[in-house]
Amino acid sequence: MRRSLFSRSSLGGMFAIAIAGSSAACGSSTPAGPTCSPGAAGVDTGGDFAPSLDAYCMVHVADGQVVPNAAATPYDVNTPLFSDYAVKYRTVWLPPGTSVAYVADDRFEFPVGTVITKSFGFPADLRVANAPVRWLETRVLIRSAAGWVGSSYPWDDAQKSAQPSAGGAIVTFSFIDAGGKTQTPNYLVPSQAQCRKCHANDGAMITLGPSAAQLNRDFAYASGAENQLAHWARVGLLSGAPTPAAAPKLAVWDDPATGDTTARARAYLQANCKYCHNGNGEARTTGLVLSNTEADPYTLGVCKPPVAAGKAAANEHYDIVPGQPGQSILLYRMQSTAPSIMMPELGRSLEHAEAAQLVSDWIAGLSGTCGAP
Amino acid sequence: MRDSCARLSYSLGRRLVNGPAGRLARPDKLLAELDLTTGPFELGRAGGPPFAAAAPSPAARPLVYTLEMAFIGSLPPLPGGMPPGARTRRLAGGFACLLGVVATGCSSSSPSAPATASPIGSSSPLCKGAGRCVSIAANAPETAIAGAFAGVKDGDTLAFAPGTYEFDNQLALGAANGVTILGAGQGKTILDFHGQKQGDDALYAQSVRDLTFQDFTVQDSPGNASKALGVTGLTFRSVEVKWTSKDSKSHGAYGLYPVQSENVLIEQCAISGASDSGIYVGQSQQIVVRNNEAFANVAGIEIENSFFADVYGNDSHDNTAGILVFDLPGLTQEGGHDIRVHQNVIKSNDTENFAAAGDIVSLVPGGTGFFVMANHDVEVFDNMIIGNKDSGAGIISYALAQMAFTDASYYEWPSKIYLHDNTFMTNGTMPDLAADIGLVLATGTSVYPGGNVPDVLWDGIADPALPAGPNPMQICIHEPTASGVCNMHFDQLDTNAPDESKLVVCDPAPFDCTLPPLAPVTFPGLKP
Ligand code: HEC
Ligand code: HEC
Repeated sequence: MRRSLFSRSSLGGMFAIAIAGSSAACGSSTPAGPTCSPGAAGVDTGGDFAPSLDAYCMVHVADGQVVPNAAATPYDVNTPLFSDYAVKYRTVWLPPGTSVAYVADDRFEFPVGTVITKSFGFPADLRVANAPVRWLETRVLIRSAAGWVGSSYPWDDAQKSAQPSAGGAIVTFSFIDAGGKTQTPNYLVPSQAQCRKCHANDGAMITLGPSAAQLNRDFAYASGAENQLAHWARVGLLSGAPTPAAAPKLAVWDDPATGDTTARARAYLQANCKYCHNGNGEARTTGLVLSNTEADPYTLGVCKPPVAAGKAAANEHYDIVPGQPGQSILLYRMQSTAPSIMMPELGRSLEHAEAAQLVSDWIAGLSGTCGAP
Repeated sequence: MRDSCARLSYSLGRRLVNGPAGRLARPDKLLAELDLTTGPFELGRAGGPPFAAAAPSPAARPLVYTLEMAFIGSLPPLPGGMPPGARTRRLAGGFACLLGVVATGCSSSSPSAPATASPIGSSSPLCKGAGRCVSIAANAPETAIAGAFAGVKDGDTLAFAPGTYEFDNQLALGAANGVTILGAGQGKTILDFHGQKQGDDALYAQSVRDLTFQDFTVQDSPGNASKALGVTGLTFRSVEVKWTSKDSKSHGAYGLYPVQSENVLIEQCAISGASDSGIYVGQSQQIVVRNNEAFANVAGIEIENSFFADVYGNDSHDNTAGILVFDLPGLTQEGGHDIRVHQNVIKSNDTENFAAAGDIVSLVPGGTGFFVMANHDVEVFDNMIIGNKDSGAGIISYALAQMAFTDASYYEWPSKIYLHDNTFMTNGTMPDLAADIGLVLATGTSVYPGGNVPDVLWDGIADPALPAGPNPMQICIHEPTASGVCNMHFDQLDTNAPDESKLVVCDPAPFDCTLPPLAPVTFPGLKP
């Protein structure tokens, strides 16, 4: 049963189950005030996830928007992960007196105690600017002494409270996409173990967004727009950073002003695929590396036969055939929504058609041939 | 701190009984009678002093348990109230347990777990042994099962009661060592993934030690039935994997799929219907695959880019290919070696190849008994290789895949291959004309002894860097029952007009040598 996003029991099946809660009972979870501290939740010292998201004092929802609490710093990335067109809102908090050291070409290594949140929601109609958003979940990553741990906190219907979900769920609902078409995703609220599909690096959880290249962009802070790296350095979150102009910058996949087709397609693959497709990620078994710095065409998939693709090979022979998007397994897997074929393997159920077009244009522009298979 | 699970679950049960959902008349049948849509159930509201004495942590506001906290399994009668002091931060410690499982036999002790919180008797007859055992009842909701999988702790057993469990999401295991996933038996506990919407693997685990899957069936996963990445000490015992749809092309790729794992044991499993390989061990080391049955898959058993494997006592029949030992370029681990294949029945692997074109196994002709490609130190002996209509046993190089590669460290030729004392019967009666290799084999029918493709074939493609000679790759063959031992001379093949009748040389003499036997694979904990 699928209903509109905003009715009281808007979410069918599993979702209603996963986030069923009573606003009356949970109403006590008042938005955390300026006095609360994310550190008090104590996960960094080995406890389990707080039973309610507000214990972390990072965000609350008001009038359809995620609002950062006083201690948390909101941030954005140049090219985000695609999650069925979800709107996202990210915040970070570092324990007082700590900062993260700048590194130019890799992820930032945050200090123990750091809390990062990423909230996922959908407006009813993507064509309406600044429409209220129905927030589905806030994912939390905490840097404990033993390493990063993470959980999703699905939001209740009243958007007042969120409790951790160990097991996750598949959530079905509808929204209208930017082209006016009704979309009905099988949206994934990942289980705590599924975080590791994407966030594990040789088994250890890592962060995937915050790097100099991803953060090097302006953010509209309450105090006005400012480059994020400059802002983080100014408020003491980041140490050793050069001026933003001297830092690397990842292209914004859908903004031609930030890079040509190649730069933007590679940025998209870097943000959406590389976290698995690298020497230590989930797809390390394939030998296909989709980072934006990979220089060997074969390793990037050009004329590379797939290893363990099964039916995802789609009667084609190579991951990328230069000049031939239609013969390139890589593109086919971006377009597919079948769980055994699609890439990424999880975390989306809709095709990201605009990104597939970008990657298609990029492949079309590559020259060379693979020889008859 | 984790040990508070049992007690908290217990108490939660009581609250549920006493609380707003007063319909829970029988605490031992919680799940059955809990109408999960009527939540929330509050812990702490329904009252009892224990909860009123909540600790003043930020987490100490009333907790609301929704369906997510539904129980798996059943609870014994409650002996008394909640021990004082339970609702402290320890509560958070037990939270994962509250999220849907009844933990029995929590064994470790903690200062906050007084003796009254003694382990609840095991509610599942399957729960044996020392560790914590989490029993999962047949009507447990998926999200609770997934929560139990995500929340496993070192040494846990997750025990499924008999029944059929349906999933719409992949079932991923958390990072804990020494975990056992147990069912009530093949065909008795059935994990059904036909509705799975996310994830390429049904069961998924990575980067843990000593993981065992035992006594259940996994069926109809859209992708792989069970993938284990980077696991050291992995056992699949008596696990059945099958696909029930008649449309075999729609089946998932691999049945059991350990990859980049070490100390892998797969025994007494039954795998059928995989659209790539039933049992596929990739890029792994120290592997024992024994006494399994694999049928109606494209490849029954495939060992790929792996070191030290012992494949024996298996019955691989009615697949497209019985047993494959392959090595492919461009991977983290390559140069497969030290593989023993012995005492297997490799029979009637005559199923038409239903792998997707482009998939490497799609190149394998229907009717293949055994292929070894680009490995070194492989010993194949005492197998029964019978009734495989394309060919019995082939020794081939990656050149036959006809695919380019740029990987300079990859060695594409098979070397030091020793086949001896296998029993061959009635293979090669009808090469598969739908496959390139089969097509080429068919061109020699007029000259083959008896008109059938000979039982033992070498493709004749040798490493050009080696001194030329009749047997540069050190292939030794002692096969008295083989209908022929032949060099197919693919090295001289005119691909535009292949004609084996002009190329094939059937003569065992060049291969009349022996190689030292390979040592059996052993690893800690492996029983003979
Ligand atoms: C499909 C892959 C995928 C899964 C599954 C996934 N994540 Fe992420 N996550 C990402 C990517 C990629 C980023 C960075 C890009 C972005 O922020 O858009 C990210 C970012 C985050 C961030 C912001 C900090 C960071 O690492 O950049 C948090 C917090 C987070 N994820 C938490 C979680 C939690 C908790 C889970 C499990 C419940 C989870 N994620 C599951 C891919 C995934
Ligand atoms: C959550 C981890 C994950 C993410 C994210 C991911 N992949 Fe994959 N990918 C895999 C795994 C595992 C395999 C190997 C099994 C298979 O082929 O299904 C794979 C295989 C592939 C293959 C076949 C490669 C080969 O040579 O064998 C292609 C092509 C591919 N992925 C493309 C992509 C693209 C494009 C993206 C981003 C849009 C992406 N993947 C994101 C996990 C991932």
